Amino acid sequence: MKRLLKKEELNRLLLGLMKEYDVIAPIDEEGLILFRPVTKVEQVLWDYPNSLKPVKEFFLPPREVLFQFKRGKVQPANLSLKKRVIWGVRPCDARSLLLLDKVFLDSTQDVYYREKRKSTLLVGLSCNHPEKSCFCTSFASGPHHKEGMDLLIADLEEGIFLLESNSPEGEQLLKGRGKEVNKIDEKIRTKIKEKTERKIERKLKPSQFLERLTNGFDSSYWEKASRQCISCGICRYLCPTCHCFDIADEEGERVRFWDGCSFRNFTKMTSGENPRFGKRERFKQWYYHKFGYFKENHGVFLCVGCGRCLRNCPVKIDFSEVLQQLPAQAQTPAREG
Amino acid sequence: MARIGVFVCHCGTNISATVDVKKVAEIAKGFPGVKFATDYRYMCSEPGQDLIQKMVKEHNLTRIVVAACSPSLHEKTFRTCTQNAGLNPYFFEMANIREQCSWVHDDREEATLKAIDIVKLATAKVGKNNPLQTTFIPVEKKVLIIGGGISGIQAAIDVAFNGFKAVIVEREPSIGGRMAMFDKTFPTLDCAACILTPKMVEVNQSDLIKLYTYSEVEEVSGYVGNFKVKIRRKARLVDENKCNGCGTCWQRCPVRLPSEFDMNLGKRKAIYVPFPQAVPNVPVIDQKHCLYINKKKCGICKKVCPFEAIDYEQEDEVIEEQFGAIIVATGFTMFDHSIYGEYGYGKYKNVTTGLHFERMLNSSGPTGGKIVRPSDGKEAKKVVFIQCVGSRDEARGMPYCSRLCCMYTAKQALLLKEHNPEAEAYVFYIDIRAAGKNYEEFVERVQDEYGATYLRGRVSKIFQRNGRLMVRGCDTLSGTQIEIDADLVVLATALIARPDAIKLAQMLHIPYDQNRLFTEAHPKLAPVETVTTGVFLTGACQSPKDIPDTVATASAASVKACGLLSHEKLPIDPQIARVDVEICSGCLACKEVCPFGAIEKEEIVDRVTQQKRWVAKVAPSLCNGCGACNTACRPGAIDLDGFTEEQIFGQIESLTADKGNER
Amino acid sequence: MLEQLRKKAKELLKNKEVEVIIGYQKSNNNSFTTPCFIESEDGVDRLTWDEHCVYNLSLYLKEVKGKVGIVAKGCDVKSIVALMQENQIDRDRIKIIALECQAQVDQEGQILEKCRTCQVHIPGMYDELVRSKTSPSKIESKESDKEYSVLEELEAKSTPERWQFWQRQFEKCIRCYACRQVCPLCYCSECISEKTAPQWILPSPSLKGNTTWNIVRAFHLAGRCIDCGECERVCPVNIPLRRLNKKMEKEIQTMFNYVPGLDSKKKPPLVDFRVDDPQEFIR
Ligand SMILES: Cc1cc2nc3c(=O)[nH]c(=O)nc-3n(C[C@H](O)[C@H](O)[C@H](O)COP(=O)(O)OP(=O)(O)OC[C@H]3O[C@@H](n4cnc5c(N)ncnc54)[C@H](O)[C@@H]3O)c2cc1C
Ligand code: SF4
Ligand code: SF4
Ligand code: SF4
Ligand code: SF4
Ligand code: SF4
Repeated sequence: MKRLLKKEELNRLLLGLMKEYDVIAPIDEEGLILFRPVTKVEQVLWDYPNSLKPVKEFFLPPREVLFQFKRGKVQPANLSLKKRVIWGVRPCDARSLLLLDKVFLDSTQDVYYREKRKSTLLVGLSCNHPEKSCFCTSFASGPHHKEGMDLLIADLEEGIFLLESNSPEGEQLLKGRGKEVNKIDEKIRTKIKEKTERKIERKLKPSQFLERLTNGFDSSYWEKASRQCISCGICRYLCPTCHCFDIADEEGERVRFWDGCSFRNFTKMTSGENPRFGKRERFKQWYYHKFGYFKENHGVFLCVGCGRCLRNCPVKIDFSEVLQQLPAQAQTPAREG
Repeated sequence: MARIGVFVCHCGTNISATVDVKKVAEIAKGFPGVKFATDYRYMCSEPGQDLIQKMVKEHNLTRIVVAACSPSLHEKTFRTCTQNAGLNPYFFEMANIREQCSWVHDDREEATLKAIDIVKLATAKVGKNNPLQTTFIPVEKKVLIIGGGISGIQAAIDVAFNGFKAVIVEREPSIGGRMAMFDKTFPTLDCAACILTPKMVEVNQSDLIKLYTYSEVEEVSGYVGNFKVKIRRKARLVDENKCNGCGTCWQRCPVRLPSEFDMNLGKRKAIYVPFPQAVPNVPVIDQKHCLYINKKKCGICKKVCPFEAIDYEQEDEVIEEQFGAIIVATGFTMFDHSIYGEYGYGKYKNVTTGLHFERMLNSSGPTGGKIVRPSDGKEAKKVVFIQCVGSRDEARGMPYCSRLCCMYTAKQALLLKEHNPEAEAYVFYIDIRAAGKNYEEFVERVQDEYGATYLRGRVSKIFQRNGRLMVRGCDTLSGTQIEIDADLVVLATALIARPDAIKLAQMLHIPYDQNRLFTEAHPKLAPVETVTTGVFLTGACQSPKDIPDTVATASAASVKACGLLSHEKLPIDPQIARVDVEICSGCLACKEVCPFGAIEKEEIVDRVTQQKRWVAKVAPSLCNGCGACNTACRPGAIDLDGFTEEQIFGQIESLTADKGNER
Repeated sequence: MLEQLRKKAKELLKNKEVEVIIGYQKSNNNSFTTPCFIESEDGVDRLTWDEHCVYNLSLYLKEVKGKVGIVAKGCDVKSIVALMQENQIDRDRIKIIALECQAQVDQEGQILEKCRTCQVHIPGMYDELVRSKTSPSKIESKESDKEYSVLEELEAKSTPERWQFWQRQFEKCIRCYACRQVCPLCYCSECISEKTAPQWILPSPSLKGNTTWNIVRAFHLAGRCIDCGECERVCPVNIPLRRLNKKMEKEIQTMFNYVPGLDSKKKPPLVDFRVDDPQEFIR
């Protein structure tokens, strides 16, 4: 179902949602754009560059208590959750959840993830002003894609919005709101969409990745490509699809929290052995997981082209470039550093 | 899982009067891992120890906690007991519920709760104790003595008497130190040379004592039992093996220079022995002033030496030897009075010091035993002695009392009178401190029998009037201002540490105080030991001492050193620091902060990268287990066995885990 | 200056004095720079030098083996000094091409906070020095006397207020450890935050763990941090880490009259002890 809404109507929709759901939306928190629970419509950002942290934090939280224990007695975590809406999700982030579903829902179901997923509606916002670092179009997504969302809001500019449902729940929300969408509206929308897509200059050719990675496992290329890397966790943590975690006991709580393959201790074993001790191995792992192993196991690349890794890398490593430059012939070192 | 036994001691009523020991034992039964707990009247008694051993068998205990007195009293007792029960001796912890609880509290209820916590801490710790093994190091049966003054000489003689080898390293060309400069010594007035030279000769003749004069210690590494010492033997330019001390060379040498030994009151040659009784009686060539060395002229000494002992080509030699123990006997030096304006900033020739006066008194000294005015060599009749110059002066000098100035001043006043009964002696003093056997009597005699005038008060100014030296001071007892026209003023300047004391202390890793005097391990109970095991102190390098005290400490230090050497092997306390080289980043912060120099850097090949890198390494025999390194280590690579982070954490957790539930 | 820099770099590579040069190059989209590693003479043309060379490249010195040349600003040189003091690098294998630096800017073009009070526009230690032909022999920052003015606002707060301020900041921390990873002085092969037995610092991003983490790191940098400001620059959630370190720096300076990174022969005060050290805190 598609409907056309004015800004005020949209606001009313949001206000209505706030009565019934916990609403999470992008806000400006001391200069950082973050998704946070909101209670007022005015807090919510409309035209914003994508958030610093991806929405994965509401499904795979940075820190999650799995259960509590005291003196040998276990207290399971309360999994029931009030129904919530995440408002203003960008298409790339919405798609990332579909990828995470493959990990946490496909074969073995992770109850913690599942419950959160089940009780959350996603209302997306299309992207009219992509950033230089964005490359969603290279990864089966795009600034106006509605995949993974319950409802997509496309900004037709001049205060008019085209809303398109993508699930029964989404349709439910739309019912009886705004007015019908006509052909002209559709045309405007297509024009905006195409214009935006053209703005995305960064284009990758993922079709070659798998083969190049297979050939290049031992390539000296990685030595050089990884040189600048400082092995922090920014790219991993801020990535909407990275989903590695560690588990530890903290003062009577068993917690699961973000971890990443850039850290040396990530693969350190009790024996002291560490298969990915070196920086080069840890750097490489990120590419192999996203564009090699995941593709082999799930048929898709584990990347949505949101560009966060590029934007936030402290030493400005261009991740897409590192991939592009991976030599077709193994062992042939490409450009330096 | 550890099976812990807790034994709570009554200590008669020392503990049980204030702490409900039954309750402590009862509650301890509920602590994690505790399989048995009881109380007993005297845990340290034989039945008490038997009880522990019996219960270990009966309850299969693997860890022991005794809640009693301070570990410094009975830790050893119970460790041995634990070992006798068939357990590793370090599977034992002591909970101090006496000094830290019953003795300092009177509220029984509160004290009992505290005792429970103390026991809880001990059980939490003991559960995480690792078995530790005592290791042993072999002992090199030789003592190094640094400094050949009376203290070093006496120490060497005593070490040799015990049948061990000693090496004296003396910086000057001869041993003897300050004492060799004196004429007579208080309070008995025996002639210094008469009592010193026999000892010097004994040292020279002993098969067990080796002398390295004109030498200095350059580097000390290693640890008790195995100190590795580098000694620089400065080039004498005279072959010690050939020279027989005939003296032809120094008689013929044309260069005349002020003699340091004579406090510049006399002359020596460019090739010289500092004094006639020098040991060894072998001259050295003063390279700074020798004409041959500097201008390739002269060469007389070489020509005249009947034994061809002169060797201008000789060079410094650095030798390395191993020692089991080290005795430091480097003595003292004198405070420089030239900072004092009231005494003329060191400008007046006739204002001298006690040491100058000693040389004048000495009949084999530069003046042949005559007391003269350095300015014109005329006999000095009126002599003013001023005590406490640089001593007891926190602002400009040393804060302490130099202890023997009262005595040597009295001695010098007496000897002045003996040399010339006509002479007048005036002594300005603040207090007379004559605490020693026959000391007070001695000072009395100087005043009563010899008629030295003692004036209680400070000298405010020394100045020149009509070519005479005027000493202005006050006599606080009569309340009058006094001016004395003196021939000679003798300042009793403070005894202070040698200028290079800090360097030596750092080399030996021994502490020194704010006055740069070496610090003993305990001022009362370990007065000749230092905190570095195997390094001992004697004589004036530790604090101003007269000869009786110096000799006493020399004997004490040699007993301690010989005690060490009498062992074939020395045990090392296993409660020491340990480096995890996997984590160590080689920053060496630990090395910098270790007060015992127990950490050195070591190159290893990294297990993973196969590349070389630096890490820290602990020398077990040097580490005292103080833990300073642990706090300096940022990544937590260095841990202290017996007090590991895990043990301490276990303790903290035991207290915090369920606080609130219990109380 | 750039020409000179490239010339010097080329010479070093040509004469085999170094095997690699760590420097700056334009980043892919040309709007900023990124670190680069140059191993051949023809590579030196990639080297760049402008106000976007924010990185403290000394970070890489420990991991790059062999003879290495490094392009360094005054503040970067300070960390090289500190690394020498701490036995981490061998000065003999390092050639420092030092650059006179007026100021660096952030991505928004703002002059960096540290540059306003910089005292080392002309680096203090180098093998080669590249200077601008037009600048005077001595360059002083306009605000060089305001070294600690960034602290004023915090120091005016009461202790509870200050605590509150930092709690609010630490709450944001996501434990990405970028601050640690970018810090030239956080070179430990295994950080205390990674230690598990015992676990000094709770590993998950909770207020408690974050507080311990950030305070412990500040402690570990006390008397060592050379104020390159890199930690604050990289923190993705904008925690004002420089203020924490600056405060420590100030304390050390007032107590021990010591400024890190200026003299490789000096011992850092916190790994040194003297009988006359100030000990007010124990009394
Ligand atoms: C003016 C005066 C008068 C005194 N009169 C009396 C008296 O009458 N009766 C009395 O009991 N006491 C007297 N004393 C005290 C007496 O001098 C000391 O008790 C005694 O000299 C202390 O002996 P020592 O071996 O400790 O030190 P020292 O005599 O100073 O000997 C130390 C020796 O160590 C050597 N040395 C120093 N550093 C090194 C080094 N780094 N390496 C190698 N060798 C080194 C020195 O060259 C010296 O030979 C008097 C002191 C003074 C100043
Ligand atoms: S302080 Fe710690 S890391 Fe540094 S050298 Fe010592 S043990 Fe190694
Ligand atoms: S425990 Fe003390 S003595 Fe032992 S190595 Fe550490 S600092 Fe040195
Ligand atoms: S960089 Fe910032 S967010 Fe990351 S660990 Fe450091 S303080 Fe925390
Ligand atoms: S703590 Fe921050 S400012 Fe200090 S040296 Fe490290 S990265 Fe630079
Ligand atoms: S925080 Fe401390 S332990 Fe961790 S890397 Fe930095 S200095 Fe080392």
